[in-house]
Amino acid sequence: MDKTIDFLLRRLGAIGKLNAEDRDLLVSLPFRRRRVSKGEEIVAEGSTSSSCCLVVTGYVHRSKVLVTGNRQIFSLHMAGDIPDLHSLHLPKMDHSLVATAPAEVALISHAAIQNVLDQSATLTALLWRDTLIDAAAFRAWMLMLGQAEAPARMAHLFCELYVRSRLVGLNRENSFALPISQIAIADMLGTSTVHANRTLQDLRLQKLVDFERGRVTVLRWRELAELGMFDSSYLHIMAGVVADQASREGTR
Amino acid sequence: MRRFYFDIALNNEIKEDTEGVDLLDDGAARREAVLTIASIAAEAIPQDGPLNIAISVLDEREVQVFRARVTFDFDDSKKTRQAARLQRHKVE
Repeated sequence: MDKTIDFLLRRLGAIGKLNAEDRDLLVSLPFRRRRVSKGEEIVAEGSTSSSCCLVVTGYVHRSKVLVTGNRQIFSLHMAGDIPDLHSLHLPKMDHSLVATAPAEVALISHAAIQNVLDQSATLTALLWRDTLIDAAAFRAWMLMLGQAEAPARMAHLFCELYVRSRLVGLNRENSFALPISQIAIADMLGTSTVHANRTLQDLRLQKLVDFERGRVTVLRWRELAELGMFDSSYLHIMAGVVADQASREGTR
Repeated sequence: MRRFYFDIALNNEIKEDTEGVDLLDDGAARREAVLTIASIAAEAIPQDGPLNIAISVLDEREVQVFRARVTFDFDDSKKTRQAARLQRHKVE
């Protein structure tokens, strides 16, 4: 089986019921792979999109820039995510899709996706569920951005990324790759770069996480989750899927 | 891009910035400093007690470009309006 669709199957299998027919339909999807470099815009705000973008490697984010030049990153996406799935119904982009790290994406045409969805009501429901989980993640981020302090926001972000990357099998023991700039982290947390750096240093000093050469290692999961007030229920992972809750061997 | 270092003092605890941040110019460094001091204040002020935050921004030659400071002082002793007015003037 082609690795490209593999991460998508893992993600969808973890967040809902993926039956054999729907699996085959997804595997049959035609795609075009594209490499993007760090900072490169994949889909620009205002443009009209005719395909969806499945992340295969690296990280991409959704963001918008104010006239003042200030940027907010709304969400960060990894292998198995289709961050612009909504473009199937909202083709005119109201934000940008940008590579946060060197990435590879698979472009799947709207026509091809519509074609497989026309053949399966269960697959349509599953992708709808995925989009709703996307919206749930926005609510979780909004709560942190509006109400929590920077250390809690950063801890919450690391917890979320840890759980999501574990879900699709990207974690190596208790660490995951995060080769993104501190500016990007600051723009996700809605704070200054200096304050984000300072906050990260604090988390390291408290020995909750390590952040070296683009890898985050979770040293003390429970304390990190407590600081970030992290409750993974908004990610709506199916019961029994590894990645959820206590399956964090190697971390205390 | 130029590299700036942001040394921050929170009450008596001083943290010197050894990594620095690359920014376009002095104006960008100033915005970064103001946003940083405001964020630190927003997080530290809800905790009790007086607070002094100072930030000094150095350029790549380790020369201070500017400095900014925020002070928070809380007094819950009962006093008349007149006394409160005098106290306000004293602070200003």
